[in-house]
Formats: sequence, structure tokens, C-alpha cells
Amino acid sequence: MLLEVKDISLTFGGHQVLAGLSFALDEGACLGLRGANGAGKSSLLHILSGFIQPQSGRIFFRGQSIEHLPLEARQELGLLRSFQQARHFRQLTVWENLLGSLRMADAPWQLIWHTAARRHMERVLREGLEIFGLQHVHQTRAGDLPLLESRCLEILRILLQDPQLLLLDEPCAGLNQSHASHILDAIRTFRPRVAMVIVEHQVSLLHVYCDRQLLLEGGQLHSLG
Amino acid sequence: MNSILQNFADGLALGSIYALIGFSFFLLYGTHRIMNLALGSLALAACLMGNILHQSVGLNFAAVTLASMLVAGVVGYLSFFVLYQLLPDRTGAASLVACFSLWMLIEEMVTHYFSANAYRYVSFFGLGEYRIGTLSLQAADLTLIALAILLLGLLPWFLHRSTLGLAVYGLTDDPAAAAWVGVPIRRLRQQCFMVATALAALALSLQGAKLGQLPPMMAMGLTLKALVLTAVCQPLGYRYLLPCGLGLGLIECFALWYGGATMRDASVLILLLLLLITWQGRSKIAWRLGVPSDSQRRGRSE
Amino acid sequence: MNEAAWSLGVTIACMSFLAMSAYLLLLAGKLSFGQQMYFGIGAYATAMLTSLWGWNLWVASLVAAAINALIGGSLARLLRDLYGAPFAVASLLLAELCRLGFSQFEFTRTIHGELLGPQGLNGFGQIRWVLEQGWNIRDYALVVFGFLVSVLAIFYLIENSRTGLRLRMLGVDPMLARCQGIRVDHYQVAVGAVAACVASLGGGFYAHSMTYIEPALFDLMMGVHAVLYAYIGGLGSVLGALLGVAFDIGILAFIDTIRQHRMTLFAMVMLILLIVRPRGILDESLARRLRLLPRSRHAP
Repeated sequence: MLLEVKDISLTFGGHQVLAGLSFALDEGACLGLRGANGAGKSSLLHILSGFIQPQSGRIFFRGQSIEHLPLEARQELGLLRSFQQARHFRQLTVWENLLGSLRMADAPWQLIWHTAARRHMERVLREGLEIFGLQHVHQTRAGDLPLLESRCLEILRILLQDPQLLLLDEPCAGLNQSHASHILDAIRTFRPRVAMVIVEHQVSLLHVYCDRQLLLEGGQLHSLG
Repeated sequence: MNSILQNFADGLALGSIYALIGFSFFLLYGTHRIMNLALGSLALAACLMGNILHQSVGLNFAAVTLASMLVAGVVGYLSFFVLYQLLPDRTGAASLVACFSLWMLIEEMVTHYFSANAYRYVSFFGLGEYRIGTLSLQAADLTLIALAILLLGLLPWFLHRSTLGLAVYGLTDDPAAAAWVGVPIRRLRQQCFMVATALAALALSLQGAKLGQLPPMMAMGLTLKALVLTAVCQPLGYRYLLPCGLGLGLIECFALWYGGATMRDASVLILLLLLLITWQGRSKIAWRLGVPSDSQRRGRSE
Repeated sequence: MNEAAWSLGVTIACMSFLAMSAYLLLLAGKLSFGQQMYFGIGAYATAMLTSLWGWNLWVASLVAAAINALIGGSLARLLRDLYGAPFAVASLLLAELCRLGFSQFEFTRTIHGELLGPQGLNGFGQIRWVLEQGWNIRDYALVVFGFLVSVLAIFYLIENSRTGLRLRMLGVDPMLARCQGIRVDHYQVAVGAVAACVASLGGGFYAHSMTYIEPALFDLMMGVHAVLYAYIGGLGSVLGALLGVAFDIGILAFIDTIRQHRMTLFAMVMLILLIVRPRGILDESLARRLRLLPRSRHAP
């Protein structure tokens, strides 16, 4: 069991957003999360990623309780997320965004000047750029990217950090079916074994890519198979 | 006892200036998200230009102050144009640096192009000080205190009951939403820049009339303290500007009386620094300063 | 080159250290108008060690830099929650407090019948270590340039490494950097310490070239200038900081006809540059073209 969530509750300004949520996720599985706007899907992702603390409940990642761990600690365990509005280091180029995000055993000073590690890094980055179709924009500033490339960059940047579990908050918002499929296919190609929780409104995508779907309604989760 | 009362009166007067200039900063920050560090020097330059009327034509304090406020409005508009319209990068660092550059430019120009004689300021209607026993009260001080209490006291009514005030309040809260409901954002921002500079000029004019002079270096000290006052009051709201400003003035005067200029400067600096560190760093609404909130930056729960 | 030119070179080098320290903090997303504090502490500490206890200048500079690194790191930890205007104001307040401290600080010793040491508002004179070694200004300048080049080389290596990239990421978006697992607090402390160290070196060399320092030297304007140099020169590379210093002190101060209007011109150029070229002369895109920032060796 990769992720286990038990009785998570959250209240905002007197309004019960999440009420005793529980679910589990296996290694390599993909869970789709649906619900109306304001149902609490993003709030659930905030809780899982460490942005906010639930009022009650437990979260276990590989058997370890993580509900009190900060953001960086969860990142180190391999729990990473994307945002509804794609976020980048806007002033840096695509290449620089990716190079700075790549997770690998570094020399103490992380110097890549004329080292063997540099060749390996470049190989990994080039592979990612090809899979996600970003070769032609690798020297473009991240802030100047169009929507599809922006989404691809965000996802690739997260994948380079070697996640065990990806929390994707509407990764295909604003994209057509073909572009959305491109992104999800690229994730599966680049990191075949990564587990995912995908929040999406495009139901057809969830049918194709998710092993299981949950509906968040009235603060409760309902299984949709 | 008399010294205590005297320092109390002086502290209130000093604090009133801080509150008035602090409100100008507050207004600019709320509407533009800019800490206009050049505000003090712009207002001072406007006052000196108005003072030329007194030195050349012999106009009285009221006319000089009115002229100064009009000039301040114009320079306020020009600085809005430079700092807001022309500047492509209005993020925190770039706008702060631009404000500092403008401050330096104005201060250098004032130092170079105004003679030392120009710093001798018009007196406050020829009225000097009033004595109540050993307590000495300057007419300009009394006016400053009354003005601060009046303006900042009426502010809640203005912001929540008048159409213009509601538009300003809406602009400070959410510019996009304000634009959607038809608030003329650009014009309002221009007007706020002009009003803020004019108000600062009014405060400096009274201070100049009280002291009999308005040297360029005065702007820096007043600006810095008013600025920190604003930063400290941001999470609290505009209602706290007056009490905090008066409090700061009182602390400064009593520290000066107790331990001299060094004690005054040190106590004020330490107090402001502590307030800034302890308050801002833990403020749940620090994001109003355009700074990511504590929880956003640290990724912890709110 | 005559003595005046070498002296100007030393001044440019010393101010370059200060500008580099401000630049480093800007990279990490912190705008500090208080780096003159470390410059001043470095100046006083180095001068005291050489004048009062006869230490070697280079050892004294390194010790002073280590002291400043401790102070800088501690203050960076204290101010870690502040960004933007609050941080700028807090750094300014700290620097003013420090300057107030200098004006009250008196510590003198009688050396060879002469009273030496800091004397509060009267300053600290007779800083003669360089003269006592029999060095001329050219020799001193060459050594200072050597230090400057060494620090520049270290900065260049860091900027071209993943550490440098991560520092830029931290400066662009601290929250996103945290999501990436970048230990923001650790980086902020390290940057604060290194920036203080660099400024301290500049202060020590400055004190020994001027032979006299006083509290009024380390005022707000010095700190503002440090930031403006970094902005004018460009935020794309550490070389930008040097460019900014060279522009102001090297060009504006050098040309007789405009020397008296130097500050006015400097401020005007700054404003125009912020409008026309917001990231400075040597901005990131130019730095990439000049290969001063990491790039792929083999285009995909």
C-alpha cells in the first residue's frame, strides 16, 4: 500500500469541506478524483502535499505517518504535486527549470562543470524534453510558454524529481482531448511506475487513464469503480 | 511633571506627522502595491517650490501651503507616470529600486538647485508658541495634531460611506473585481498618487513652518519612520495608523528626554525592527504586501 | 598608470565586493539596503586587528569575514520570514542601528605613544598597516584585485552550477522552490552568511586604502548604491555588479565636467534603465548568450 488516508476532516470558516475521508492507493496505481467546483478536491490535494493540515485524520505513506510532515519532507519521500495554474520559475528558461529540478545524487557542491555527472544529467533531460515535445523551446523563458508547453514543463519538472506519488490538480485544464492525452501518455512513458492521483473534470480522460475513480460530494468520497 | 507634559505634547505633534505621511504610504501601497520611498522627497521639493512664492512675493503660510499642495499633486502625477505607467516590471524589488532612484534624484536636484536660503520656511501665520504655565505649545503643532485626528478620524466614514471612498477601498481590496464593477482604476490610481503626495506636502509644510526651515535631509528621517509605521500597521489596518503613529512620536520624544539623541534613535530603531520581525513574519495576511503568506512560503498549515 | 588611477581602481574593487554581496541577496530574492553594515563591521574589525594588535592584513580580513559570516547567517535566520519591502526596511533599520553603534563605539590603545583605535563619532584613523609594510598603492591594488578575481571566480562557478540555479529558483519563487525540496531556510542562511563575508572583505580593504573610517561613511546611501550597482550592471551575472560600480565610480566620477552632477546623473540613468531594461545591462538573456549561465552543450 503506497498511500493510506484515514478519516480526514477539514473545515473552512465554519463550513465542513471534508468529512471523514478515507481511501487507499497501491504502488503504480492511478486514482481519478472528480467533483463539482468547490467540492474540496484541491483542498484534499493541499492536505496530502502538506500545504494545509487537516483538523483530524491520519495519512500514511509507505506505512509512515506523514500528516505532520512539512512540504519539503514529503517531497523527499517522493510525494509531489502540480497546481491548477501551472507554476514555473518564470524568469528561467525551460532548460534551467529542468536542470535545477533534476533529482539525483549530487556531489557536495553540486558543481556540474566538466564532470561526468553533467553528461548523465543532460541525457536524462534530453530524454524528458523529447518525450514531452519541449525540444524546440528548451531555451525559451518559462514565463513565455504557451499553455500546452507550460503544462508539459510543469509535469516534466515534477517527474525529474523522481516522485513515488504524483498529485495532479487539473493537469489538462484548458487543453483539448488530444493535448491532454499527450501529457498523460508522456507521464506513463517517462515514469511508467509512478502512482497518481488526478483531479480532473474531463471524465473521458479519467476513464482511459485511471484504474479507479472517486467522486467527492458533500465532503464525502463515493467510489465510481 | 511639566517636562512630561511637554514631551507628551511634542510627541503627539511628531506622531501626527508620522501618521499623516504614513497614511500617504498606506494609500499608495493599497492602490498600487508600491512603497513609494520617494514620497517624502517629492513632498519636500513641492514645499520648497511653494516657499519660493513666500520669498519672492511675500505670500503667507496658507497660500504657500496651498501652492505646495498643488505642486505636490503635479509631481505626484509625474511620479505615478514614471513609477507605475512606464515601469514594465512592477514587482516588489524593481519598484522599490525605482522609488529609491527617484528619491535620490529629487534629493540631489533639491540640494543642487535650491540655495541654502531657500530652506528658510514661511512661519505659521506669524503665530508662535502658546504658553500654559511652563508648557509650550506651537500653533503649527496644534494644527498638525488636529489635522491628523480630523483626517484619520473621518477616514472610516469616507472609505465606507462615500462613493469615492468605497471605490478606493474596493481598489485596495481587489483591483480586478473593482474594475469589473466599473471603478475607473487608472484614474483613481492617478488621483491617489496626487492626493498622497499633497497630503505629505501639507504635513511637511506644517513641520517646516514650526521649525522655520525645511532642509532636504529632513525628508529621509520622516520617510523611513513613516514607512516602517506603515509596514507595521499593514496587517492591522488603516484604523491603527493614528494610534501607532502617535505612540511612535511619544516614544521618540520620551526617549530623547530620557537618554538623548542616541537613546532616541536606538530605541525607535529597535522597537520598529522588533515590530517588523515579530508582526510581519507571523502575520496571516502578510500577503497584502505582495509577499507570499507565511503558510505559502513555508508550506505549513494556516 | 599614476597613483590616482590605482587608488580609483582599489575603490572600485572595494565597492565591487559590496555590490556583489547585494547581488547575491538579490539572486536569492531578498532586497537588502543594509549590506553596508557588514562592510562597516569588516572595516572596523580588520582595522582594529591590524592597528591595535599588529595582525597581518590578510589573516585579519579572513577573521573579520568569518565574524561577519556568523552575524550575517544569524540575521538571515532571524529575518527568514520577511521578503520584499519588509525585508528591505528591516535590513535598513539594522544597518542604521549598526551605524549608531559605531558612533558610540570607543576602543583605544596606546601604540608607540599614539592613541589608536575607533573613537566613536571621531572615527578611526591611522590605519597604516599597508604603509608600514612599505607597499605602494600599485602593490596593494594588485593584491586587492587578486582577491576580487578569486571571489569572482567562485561566484562564476557557483552561478554555473545547479546550486546557482537553485538559488535563482529560490529568488524567483520561494514557495515553488520549497515544493521542489529546496531547503529555503538553509539557502537563505548560507546566502546571508556568504554575502556578509564578501562585503566584509571589501570593508577591510577599503579601510586600509583610506587609512581613516568613520560611522558616517556607512550610511543608507552606501547600501542603496550597492543595490543600484547590481541593478544597473545587470542581474544576469555577478559581472553585472562590477559593471555597475565601474559605471558610477569609474566613469561618472572620473569625468571632470559631470563629477558634480554625478549623483543626479546616476539616479537618472538608473530610472531610465529600469524602464528600458529592467534587469540591467547584463540581464539574464545576455548572460545566456555570453554563456555566463548554465546551458546545454548539445542542443536537443
